[in-house]
Parts: sequence; C-alpha cells; structure tokens
Amino acid sequence: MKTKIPELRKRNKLSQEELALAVGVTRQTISSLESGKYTASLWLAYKIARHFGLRIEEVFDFTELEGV
Amino acid sequence: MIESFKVTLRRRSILGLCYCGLVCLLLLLFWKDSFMVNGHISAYTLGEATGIAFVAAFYSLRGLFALRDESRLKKLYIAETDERSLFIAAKSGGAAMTVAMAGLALGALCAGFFSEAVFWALNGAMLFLALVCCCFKLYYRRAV
Repeated sequence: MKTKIPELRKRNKLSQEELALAVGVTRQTISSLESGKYTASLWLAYKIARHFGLRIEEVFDFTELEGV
Repeated sequence: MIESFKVTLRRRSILGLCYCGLVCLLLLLFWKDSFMVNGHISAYTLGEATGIAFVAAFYSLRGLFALRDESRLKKLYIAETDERSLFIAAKSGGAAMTVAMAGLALGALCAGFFSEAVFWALNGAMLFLALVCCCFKLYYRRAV
C-alpha cells in the first residue's frame, strides 16, 4: 500500500526513528510501511494519522484496494 | 500497559536467573560424572543447558537494566509489542514452534536416561525445527 509518510515526515522534519518512537513501533516497521512491504493495522494507521493531525485516508492510499 | 510489562519483565528476569543458578548447580554436581545413559549424552545435555543459560542470563540482565532506566524500558516495550515483529513471529510459527521445541527438548532430556537413539532422534528433530523457524524468520524479515 502506498503511503504519504515519507513526505509528511520530511514536512515535519522527523526521522523514521522519531516517528517510530512517537507511535510505539520500531524504525524497521516505519521503513517497511514507507516501502510498501507492510500494511499497517487499523490502530497503527490511526496513530500515525493522528500524529500528523490528518485522517487515515489522507496518509494511506486505498485506491489500489478499491477494486477488490 | 507499561506497568504490567514491568511486572512481566521482572518475573521473566527472575525466572531466567533462577534457571542460570540451577544450571550452575548441575555443572558443579555433574562436572565429571555421567548422570545419563552415557558420558556423551550427559556432556551434550549440560552443554546445551549451559548455552541456554548464557542466553537466559543475557536477556535477564537486559531486563533488569531496563527496569532501572525508563528510556531503555520504553524501547524494550516497543520492541516486544511492535506489530510487524509480532506479525513475523506469527508467520514463522511463533508460539506453536516454541512449544513443540520445548516438548522435544523435554522428551530428549527424559530419553537421555534410558535410550541414546531416542535422545539423538528427538534432539535432531528439535534442532531441525529450530533451523526451520530461523529460516522463516529471516525470510519474513526481508519480505515484510
């Protein structure tokens, strides 16, 4: 799944480590989310979106899944 | 959440150190004597138990140090509850594999008192399971 996490991190001047610590996951999880290898759970997606002050659909791109 | 993790970590660390103490006692008692079906099996079992004791000591001390330092504790809590790590653990067999390996190790320990063939067969099965588990973990760490 595509995400806007890298852009949002850059805009907020956050490293992967800092974002990971803020949402309670490891840096590797953030890296996997950014590369699209791993799909976040609803709870993690909510925490990331809330951290940036956005809604889940503004951070994660669900268009690939809409046809399913 | 982190308070219950502290209790679990303290309990786990104490159990780990108790296990190390037990292995030290066994080593002192049976350093040269054979207490199983033959000397090779005794030595192998003590060697395996000592290896596990080193790992247990490392994790116990890490846990005890983390209990004194809030930032270390938070990092440890995150590492243990990280959803990707839990996903990888579940994909690579997780608890079922651990229980199966513990059962085989216990079976091998009991078999060591009466049959060498059964002892090596059960140990071989346990080591094979451990190898499969490691391969799955390595694969999923790269894939996910």
